[in-house]
Amino acid sequence: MSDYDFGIKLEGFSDGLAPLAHLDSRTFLGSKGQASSMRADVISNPGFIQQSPALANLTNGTQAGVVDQLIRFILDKPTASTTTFAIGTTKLFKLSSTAVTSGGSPSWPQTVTDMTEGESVIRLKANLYGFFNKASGGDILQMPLATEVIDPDWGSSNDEALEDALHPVAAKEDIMVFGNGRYVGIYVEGSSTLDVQKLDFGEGAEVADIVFNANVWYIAVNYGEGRRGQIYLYDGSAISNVLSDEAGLGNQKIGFLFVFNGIVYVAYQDNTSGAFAIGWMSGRQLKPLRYFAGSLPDHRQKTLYKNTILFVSDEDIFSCGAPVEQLSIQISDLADAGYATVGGLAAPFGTPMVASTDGSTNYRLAKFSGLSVDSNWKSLSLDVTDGRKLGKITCVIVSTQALSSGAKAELTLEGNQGILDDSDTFSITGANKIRHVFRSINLKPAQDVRVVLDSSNGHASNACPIRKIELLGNFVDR
Amino acid sequence: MAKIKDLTPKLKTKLKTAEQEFRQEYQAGELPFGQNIGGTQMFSNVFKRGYGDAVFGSSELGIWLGAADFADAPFQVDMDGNVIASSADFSGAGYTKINIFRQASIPTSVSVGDLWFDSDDNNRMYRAASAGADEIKAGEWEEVATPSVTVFAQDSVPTALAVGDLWYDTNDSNKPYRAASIGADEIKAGEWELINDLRAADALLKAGSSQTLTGDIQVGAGNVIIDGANARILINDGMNDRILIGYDEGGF
Repeated sequence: MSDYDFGIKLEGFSDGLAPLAHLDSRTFLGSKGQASSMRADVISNPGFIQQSPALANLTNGTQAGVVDQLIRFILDKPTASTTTFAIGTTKLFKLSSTAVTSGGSPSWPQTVTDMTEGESVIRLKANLYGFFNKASGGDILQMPLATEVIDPDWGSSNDEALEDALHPVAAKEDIMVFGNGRYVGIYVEGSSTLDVQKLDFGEGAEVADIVFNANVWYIAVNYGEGRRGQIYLYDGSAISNVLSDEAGLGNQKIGFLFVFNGIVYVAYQDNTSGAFAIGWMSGRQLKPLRYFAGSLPDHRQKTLYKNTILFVSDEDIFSCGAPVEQLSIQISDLADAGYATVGGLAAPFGTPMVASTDGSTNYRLAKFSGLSVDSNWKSLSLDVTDGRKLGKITCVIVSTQALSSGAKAELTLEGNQGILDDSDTFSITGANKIRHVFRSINLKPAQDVRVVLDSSNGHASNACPIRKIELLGNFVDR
Repeated sequence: MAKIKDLTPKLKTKLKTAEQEFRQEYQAGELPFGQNIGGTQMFSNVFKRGYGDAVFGSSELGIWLGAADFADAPFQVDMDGNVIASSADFSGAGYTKINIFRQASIPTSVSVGDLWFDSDDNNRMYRAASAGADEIKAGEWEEVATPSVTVFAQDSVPTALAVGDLWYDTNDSNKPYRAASIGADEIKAGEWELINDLRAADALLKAGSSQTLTGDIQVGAGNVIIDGANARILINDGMNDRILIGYDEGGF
């Protein structure tokens, strides 16, 4: 006869957060590998839970260096193998994969005349263009990559001033299409045609994001303070004065569009529930993929990482997607984004970079590096009753990869949705260990239990990848 | 031996793989958003083949070629069958309607009514009297009289190219002549004939015979005045009244 009445196997952790985790951080609904709450990495080694990536400041990447303001946008496509650019509130920055350039000729970072809020940067042929707002209105800067000398009012000199608004931009060959408040502007370098008001979406509209896919421009527009979202298609040559097609999303505010592998993804807020979601355009329908809590990211806060879309929500960096097609789409809270106010996110050299500020005097531009100890994973709440009987966990078995010296995670059991005293904490550690068996669990019999993994005492470089957690127990009359 | 109860949580609906998740279902009567097949982009109310201004399109306005939008296209056919085109060449094989040729050599007509502008003969125009015409003669290519004339402005007598040619003789106060025959090269009847503009004389005649003039008519520096208001004619040389002075002193 078995020593145990019941067993629970938690595995397949690549499924990320549970479907309703954005509504209930102790949700019971989900699959065996899903979390009710987390900040952990389930995409680097799918199937395993491991610590979140840590952040390391770039050289000169804080106020002690040259980053003395929030970097609002980082150019995701480098202009050379070791060079990209970023825009802050008043300055244009030059970056490599490891450092923020300081000094040189011209001297970096460069202050942009009258700029108060950088919005976006893009490279078109031999020039870099920057879109920004001023105390009143906005403008476009042009900077030849060869000379790096900024013309701060290139836009207003060649057409007219921009609106004070979001300015998402996308480029293709010699054409760039950009948002300008209620307008979409275009610049065709071949014909030197700049029109900052090529298309007009009307009073109360704001262009949220623009991407190019399948020979057309996708333009996301929010109306009425974000109470209604609409996606339009526009002729790829940007010559036409009329829109090609449209899909109405309804009562949803669009945050960003993202193209990956021919699919247009949409980050949006469902105004009726307050939830945020990542969906994709299927025909004229927006199909939701996964939901998340926090805040709606905008056009400056998205990138691609390990085959998944990385985006900012509140102070965290989330991942949505499947590391390989044979796995399911997951959404997960991958990492801390730094300080409380997050700016631009991008991965121009493959490793994500994120900018943030504490809203006071501290600023940073940091990239993923090593492992964070500010990482945790919490299972679904697991019902362990059988009729009138409660469940008493008597054994926990954790399977890991062979651990390196110092690798460590700590496991705790919570009972009755946190009302019961937690169990003792068990350390999952030990060089070359792959199986960790814990008995003498001191958690009282409970209606439900939740497994909590914490990396506060983990290692900064040796991960503790967990593949399976098995709970064994007995039913107890109460 | 009692079996251990499996309390592992499960979703009622198994999670799809990403591969399955993005499999697009066919929706009857619905085109995928911005469907693109072989360079043809299909939208709700328009399809376009091509890129930039090199587009063939069709919409509720009609069909068009050569621009991103119908309104800007150099070739348009609207829903009422109205055609706008920059130019047309109907010389293709099998075309049996009216053809228009402009060339130096004699073309072979396709249909009765074809027109040929002879490009090395001042665009002289011919009309085909029969299909297959390839000579200039009655029943084939027949010249269509055209009102084209040449205007000469020169000192010497020109050679007229057509009846009706005009010549302004530049060293004779631009006196006008009209050619009465092709090849005219003399001023005489049947060749270059003077065009007398009789209107000025006629106007004076009319003024004198049947028109009432008001005010004075002055000749020269005002020493000869026909003063209608006072019914008199004044003639003086500034010093003396003059009526008639003989050519030779003592005359008259």
